[in-house]
Amino acid sequence: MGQLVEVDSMDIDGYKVPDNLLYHKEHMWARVEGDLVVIGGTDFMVKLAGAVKRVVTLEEDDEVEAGKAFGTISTGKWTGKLYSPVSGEIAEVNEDVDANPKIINDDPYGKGWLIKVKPSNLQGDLAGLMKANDGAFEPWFKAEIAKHAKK
Amino acid sequence: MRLYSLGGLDWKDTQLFYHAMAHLGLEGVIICRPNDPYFCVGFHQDVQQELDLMFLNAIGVPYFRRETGGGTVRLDKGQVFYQIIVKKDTKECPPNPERFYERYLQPAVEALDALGLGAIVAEPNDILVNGKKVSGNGGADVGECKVLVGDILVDFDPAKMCRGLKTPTGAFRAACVRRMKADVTTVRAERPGATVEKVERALRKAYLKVCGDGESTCLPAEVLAKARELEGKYLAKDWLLFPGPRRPWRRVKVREGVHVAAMPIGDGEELFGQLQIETLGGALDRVELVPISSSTKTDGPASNMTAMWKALVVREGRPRKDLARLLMEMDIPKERLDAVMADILERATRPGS
Repeated sequence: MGQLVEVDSMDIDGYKVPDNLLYHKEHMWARVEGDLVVIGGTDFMVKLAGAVKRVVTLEEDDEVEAGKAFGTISTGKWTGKLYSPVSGEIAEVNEDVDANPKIINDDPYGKGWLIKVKPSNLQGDLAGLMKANDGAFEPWFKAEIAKHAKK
Repeated sequence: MRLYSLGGLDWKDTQLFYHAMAHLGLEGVIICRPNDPYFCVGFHQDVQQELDLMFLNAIGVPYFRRETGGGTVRLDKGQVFYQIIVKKDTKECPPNPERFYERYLQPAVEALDALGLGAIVAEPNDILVNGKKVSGNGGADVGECKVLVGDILVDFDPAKMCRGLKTPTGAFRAACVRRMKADVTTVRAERPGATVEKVERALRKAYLKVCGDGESTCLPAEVLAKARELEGKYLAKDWLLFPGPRRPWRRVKVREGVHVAAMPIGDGEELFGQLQIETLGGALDRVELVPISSSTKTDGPASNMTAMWKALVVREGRPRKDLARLLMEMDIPKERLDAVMADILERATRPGS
């Protein structure tokens, strides 16, 4: 997959939120690319997680379900879940992430993508996701930042 | 939330019970200890890369791969475990990992303080006494819960711990033992006369303060049943031996900021030996070339390694990239990599190294 083309990106309290992506409440992003949906973790999620040590996901041809975990992300301090924004079948897993998990921290919206899914309910699942320039997004996101604050 | 003070348990139940509670969505704090020794690796680790399975099988010491993070540990009746299971999206469950650790590690710190030890939490989650690690911890999202599990080292034998680890050379194992002796302590070392029972009592008293529903000495029947059901999953080979990322090096983390690592050096035909590195607090501490005596080169393995090391590392290429990745795993900051690699080369090629 090529690099993410430079697009407009909001900065909300220091977290990058590109305008051309869709967002799931578990801080995952999705982008439709042809007949696939590319999925990754947001800048907020990876900053909260810290330096990523390992990512484990389901494999190609495995089914994923919108809102359910498809993998785990481990840092030195925590092993958390990765949630799929859409339902479908995994078409591709980013093997670069397995070899070098830090690319998730370095480029979460580009080289740090996690899986590509052939969706089974695209329109239905996309309707449940948020866009950065939706009026409701920023208040929700700021509330999440406050909820997850260190102090 | 209820406190479950379970005392000595079958080794596998010290892992299965908290997994069962998390998968059932039941909250609680478990305090227990294993009756027999075993090795336990973190979720993201590869058992076959971490442990000397041939040795462990030969001496009959089992191993387990848990769902929480953290590293490889040897556990036995000299340690006391504290295991916190909290339902997500409740006010008892801070969503931020640092706040979660702060809230639920505090009782462990209080317990150690009550025993006369001045304990502190070194971020993110080691507990130190006199600058040395006395308790290790790991956290994870398991089922619909957040889980934090830790152990307090009342007694700990670094030699037994390191004997069970897979190590590329005897020198590597010796370095791990030396570092553990320097950077890890026990309650008994800090307070002679301390016993597992005294530590358990202190932990129970401290954690009872966060458990509003009192204390019990046995788990609900559904937890016991779930543990037996999960035993099949967690002791199955496909779970235990789930492959991890293959790394062209071996690294052991002794505690936060303290690592021992070794990277093989060869010429594509033959392995000459290992470059052994130790880091301390994000800085290079020791560098050693450990030759393999079976090298067939006639000039002597050490001098060949020096020459080969220079040839491999100085130019850009896979070994240099691998070394950079290893150093970042050893907490060397990215901006210092070039300087540290130059320092490694200088120390490794110094006469007498």
